[in-house]
Amino acid sequence: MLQIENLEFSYHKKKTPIFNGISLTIQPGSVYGLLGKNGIGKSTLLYMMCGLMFPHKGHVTLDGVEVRHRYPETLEKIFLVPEEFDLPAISVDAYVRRNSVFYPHFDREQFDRYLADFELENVKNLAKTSMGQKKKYLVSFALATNTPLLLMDEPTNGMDIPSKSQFRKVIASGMNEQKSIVISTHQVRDLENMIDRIDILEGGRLLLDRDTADITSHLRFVKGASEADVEGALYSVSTIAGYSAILPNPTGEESPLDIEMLFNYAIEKPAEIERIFANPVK
Amino acid sequence: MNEYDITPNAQEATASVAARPTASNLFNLKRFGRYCSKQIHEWKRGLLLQFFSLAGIYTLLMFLFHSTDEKGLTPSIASTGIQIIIWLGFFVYIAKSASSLADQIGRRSKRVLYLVVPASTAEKYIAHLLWTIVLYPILFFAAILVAQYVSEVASSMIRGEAFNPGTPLQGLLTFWNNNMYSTSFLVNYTINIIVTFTLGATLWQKNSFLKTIAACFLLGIIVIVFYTTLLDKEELESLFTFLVVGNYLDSFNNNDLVWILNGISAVEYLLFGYIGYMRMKELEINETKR
Amino acid sequence: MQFKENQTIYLQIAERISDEILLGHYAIGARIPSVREYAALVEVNANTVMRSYEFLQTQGIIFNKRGIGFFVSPDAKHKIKEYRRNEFLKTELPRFFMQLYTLHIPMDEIDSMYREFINNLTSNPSNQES
Repeated sequence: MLQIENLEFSYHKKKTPIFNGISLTIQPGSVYGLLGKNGIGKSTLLYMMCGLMFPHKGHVTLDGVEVRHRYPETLEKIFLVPEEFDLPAISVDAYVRRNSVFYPHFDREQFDRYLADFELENVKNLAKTSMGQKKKYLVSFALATNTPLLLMDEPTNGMDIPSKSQFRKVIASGMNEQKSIVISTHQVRDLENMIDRIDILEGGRLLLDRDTADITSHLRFVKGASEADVEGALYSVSTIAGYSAILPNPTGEESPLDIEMLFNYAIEKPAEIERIFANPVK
Repeated sequence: MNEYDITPNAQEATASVAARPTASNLFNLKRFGRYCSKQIHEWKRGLLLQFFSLAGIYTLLMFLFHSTDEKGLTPSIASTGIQIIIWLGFFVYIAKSASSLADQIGRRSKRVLYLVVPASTAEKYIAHLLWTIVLYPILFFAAILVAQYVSEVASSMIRGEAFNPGTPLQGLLTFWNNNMYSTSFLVNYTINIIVTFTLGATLWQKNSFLKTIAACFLLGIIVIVFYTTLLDKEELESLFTFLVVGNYLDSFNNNDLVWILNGISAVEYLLFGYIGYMRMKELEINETKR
Repeated sequence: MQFKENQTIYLQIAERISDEILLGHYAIGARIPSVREYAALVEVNANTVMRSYEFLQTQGIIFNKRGIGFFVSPDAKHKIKEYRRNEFLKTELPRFFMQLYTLHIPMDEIDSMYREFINNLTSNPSNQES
């Protein structure tokens, strides 16, 4: 289990800090969606979660050990799929053989299944594949390592539309109760229905850190509604098919969460979101 | 529903072990072996390319300088000219190889995957030193060996010169046993270059090789300026000499002096090596520089 | 899978599985896909599919054999229809009544129209729902 406590960080001493006291606990069994505008520090937070960047204040610990030491016993529990990376000029097979040995729970059968799901071949030279292809190889490998913590930075960037659908399938089948997956993205549509906890990063803090079920019990999301229906809406947009809106949810009736709308609402009215979700989870 | 066997107990066990920097977290021979094997396989293509380029370049050089040799009496490789070219090339190649650490950690896209490999900093650092001390020299001299025979064959076939390849790598080490050098100098130079350029790679990732050379020149100039200024003031100079080599310099013969210099170098390796290691340990992803 | 806009995902998945049971994709007593397999199929978080399964379980449509998986209950088809009937009476019908009321349509008119509809349906078996 990964624990982030009172994280503070800034690139330059005088500028406004990137992180101003962030605390977050990553529990096994959930897919975390780390959302935020471009340049807000999503990647930086992911790097800090795996010890590639060091906080100025606060701690990031995995099972009680500071990740910044980058001890092998910590690193073998984390897999990071960066936004941009290079793969070595070797075959898929050689890559798997040389890299899987570092991960005690690696499963070759799973890897082959994910390759099949992505319709990937055992190419001879990984370095020569496109960025989208590289991502699919690395995501397959990452899931097959079965590390308790899997971090992905904008994983669907560079993937074509069929690949995004395959990506969702692979994540859904690669997920289990021992794992936690943290996905940073600003393309929430790609991951709709995949995320079960939402973390919105804004203004150096975590504006929201809640389970989707908890969010829909506080807020009601409607689509294609008439103007009268959305009266008293917290947030609404007009579309061709009528109004899409977020309404208060006094009855606790469940509705399908629209992450994009929630995100826009949170960014526009951060104070309201904080007020609504001020009470700790029951 | 779960197909994996990560039992909660097993995870707790590893957590309690990992709470302190255990020996296994600093260095583990098995993991080190795996890391080395990973690197060598990932670099296979690059290393082969280096081997063939080196062999090609030296074949050409040996072929060109072949005729300057006394015909047929000494093999081409044993001539002083070729030997200087070989050793000069060796030092440059070793320096470049030591600098190549900067390539692995220079670009962010590479550095990220370099840092997250579950091996300790010591393992990664020692693996790099091992390559520069063992792998690259072997690669270099294997290329020289190939060049030695190919160039001989080429000269005898194209120019019709006498075919006299000599023994493998003939006389390369005797070059260092001449009056003014000793083989310990060779070892000393080699390690010095490796440690210096490795440190350079941890300090500067862009143009690491050139920057390290520039830094060495700068350091050399400072030492020379320092020493020539001292020369004017005899008392200071003798004090300085005393501090560095002691006042019993006269009682030492040439051989002892060599070992004193080697001893000083050893301290330098340890210092540079340690700074390099600490730099690697504290290496981060710099988000602002892409 | 295309999801409707105003119903929660887990209920839509439960509906889909119910449809598949009614159509005979999963026979009575047969094992249905594991949570993860189904999650991959519909590209939805496994926890959401777990909720769908739990929901179907409380409705008595499927049952859980520990360590093996989920199976279609012997009276699943009956349970599905019963659930849908209740849902219709509880949620759809009040809306329908509201329309009748606001548009001033008398119940007698509806009654005769319904009889005609049933007549059509039984005289022309090809229209009949399976």
